[in-house]
Amino acid sequence: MVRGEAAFEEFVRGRGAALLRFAYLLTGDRGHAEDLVQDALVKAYLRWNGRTVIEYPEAYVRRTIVNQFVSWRRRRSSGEVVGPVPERAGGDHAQRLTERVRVWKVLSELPPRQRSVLVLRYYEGLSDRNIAELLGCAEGTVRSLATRAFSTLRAHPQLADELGPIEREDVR
Amino acid sequence: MSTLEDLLRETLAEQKDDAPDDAELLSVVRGRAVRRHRQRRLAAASVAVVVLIAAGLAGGGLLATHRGSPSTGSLGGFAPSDSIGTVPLVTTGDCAGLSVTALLLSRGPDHPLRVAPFPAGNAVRMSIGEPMWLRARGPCVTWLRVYITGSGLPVTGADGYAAFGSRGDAVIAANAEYGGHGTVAFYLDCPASAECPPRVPPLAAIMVDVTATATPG
Repeated sequence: MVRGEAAFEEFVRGRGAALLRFAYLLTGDRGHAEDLVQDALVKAYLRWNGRTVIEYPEAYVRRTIVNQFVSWRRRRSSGEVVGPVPERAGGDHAQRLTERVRVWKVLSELPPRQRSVLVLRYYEGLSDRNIAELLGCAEGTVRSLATRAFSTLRAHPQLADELGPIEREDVR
Repeated sequence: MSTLEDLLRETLAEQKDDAPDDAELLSVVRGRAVRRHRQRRLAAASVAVVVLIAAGLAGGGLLATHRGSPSTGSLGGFAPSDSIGTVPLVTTGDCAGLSVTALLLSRGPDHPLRVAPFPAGNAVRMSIGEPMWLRARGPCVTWLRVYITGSGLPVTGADGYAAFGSRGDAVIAANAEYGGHGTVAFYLDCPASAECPPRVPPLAAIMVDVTATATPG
């Protein structure tokens, strides 16, 4: 339970960078990540200085970020153009780098809730239960979103070749 | 042999390094919060103006109609009275006889409030979003100013100031989103640029307690 100016300042100083990283992985865009985090923190700040008690501020801010991200992606009319994807380079390291760049690009094309699930699961390391609480949905929905996201990744023409040698394990 | 999950983890871990820097985050957030709060205050003031106009057309005669009513409220800055007959805030000089009455929606038209000279007594309770109509009578009405301080307060006008119109009417409205406490103070001939408080004591002051579940009285 956190209230007051000093508590807010401490929270932003302590968790601001992590929230920006989280937002950036969701959006793939630095400017938009900053907007998302700032908007979420402004909302939290106004509550902080009002009479509303925020019991779990980080969860509150993360949920706000995800909701705004999903809402923003719904409003967006066309796909975002991300940086060019390099051609396959020689060598294992170069190939792995190319794979990651392609995965990053394909991630940006996923529906926002699917992308959110992958970021929360594979970057934040959250359990499906925690993800479900954060997204406001059932645990089964989280698993379903993850499965669909993986199907999209595997079927994507940018990745089909790359993922050929990768072991195709069932996602949890 | 790696999995797609490994590849995802590697990708996300690598890309996080491109995230924006948080050096200015706190100051930017504070600046945006202040601007947003001001916008909300302006919006609330705009709503209050609309309410005032509507009240002036439809119910503007409430106070006049009930002048002389035997039931008046007992509130901070207001004194109970057998009638709404005014107590002057100013008793000497050119502005002698200046008085203010108030009407809270939640108290109904039968409970107008009489503003007594400073210092104030118990706090007035207002619901969030509730307007308070103020009516000044007597000389120097157009010189009278309302100045509002505190957090989660009734808001109106720019920079916390509001003036009475030529007919002696003004309105304040509790903040639409947050509760809180504050003071509605009355000053004479104190334009916003002069910043009367805290250099000059107010003629009268109403302590206000804004709550989401305020009940009359």
